Amino acid sequence: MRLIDHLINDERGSSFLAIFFMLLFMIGCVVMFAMLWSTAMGMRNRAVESYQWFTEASDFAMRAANMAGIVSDPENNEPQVRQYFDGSFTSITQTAARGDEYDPQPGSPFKAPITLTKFNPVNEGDPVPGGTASGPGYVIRITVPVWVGTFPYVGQQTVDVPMSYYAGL
Amino acid sequence: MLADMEMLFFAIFLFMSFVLGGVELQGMVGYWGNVQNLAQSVAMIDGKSGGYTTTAENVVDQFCRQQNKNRSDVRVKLTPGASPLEFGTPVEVAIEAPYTFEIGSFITLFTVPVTGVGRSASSYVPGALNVTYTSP
Repeated sequence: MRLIDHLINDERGSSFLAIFFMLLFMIGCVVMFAMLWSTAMGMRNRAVESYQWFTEASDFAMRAANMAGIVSDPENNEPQVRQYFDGSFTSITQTAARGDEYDPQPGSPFKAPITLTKFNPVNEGDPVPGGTASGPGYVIRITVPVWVGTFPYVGQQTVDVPMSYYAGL
Repeated sequence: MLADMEMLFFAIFLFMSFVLGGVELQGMVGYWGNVQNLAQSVAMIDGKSGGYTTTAENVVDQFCRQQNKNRSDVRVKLTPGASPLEFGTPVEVAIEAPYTFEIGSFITLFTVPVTGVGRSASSYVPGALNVTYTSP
């Protein structure tokens, strides 16, 4: 205590304390920034790979529909193509379909259910993400939890990223 | 007075280390993007061809040339490893490539493995494509 009193009362000591606390503050800021940056990059990376897997599952569904000869009439063949999408998406992401939700199974990289929010048939010329449809297909939209955290008194919180894709021929 | 100067220099050093570390990490994130894209490309080729083909191997070779890596340092792990795969079988390709933290061209700090995971499902129909399988 005597040392602290001396530092506060002395001119050089107070200057020492000011720079010392500035250093502590800087270290705290750097650590906080590093933690936030790492978390943000982790979320971004998970979103990037999720989108790649999602588009691949959608394209597989269209390839399967093409082989079954049911591409030309998307409105009437939606249940069948949705089945193909469910099959490929669940096997690629290691989830189990439950209505419009895909629950993560053991081994899945996801920690919370993925939600399907749109599975709309489109025809040539219809507006789709990124322009207009070049042929019959489907606009599929999902919401992916890229980060899941549990906080005391608040409970589980997720960061969800919506992603859309036009799967067509 | 001396202590103040020391702490000031340390503060500047800390700030410069922070900036340098941030630049290095940002470089690693960019590299991860490349590895992830490679893994997904290989997975897509495997999905269409029903297994690891010479085309997929050429894509990995091209990546190694562009990134100035030895092919032996880049590991490709396929799940499942057998080929040809039945229609609908999920394919997972994990590619592990080394990333070297370095300052400029001369100071090499250390190397860490960076892994990208590509996923697809086999849409291969026997006889539909003329493919040559190989091992990574």
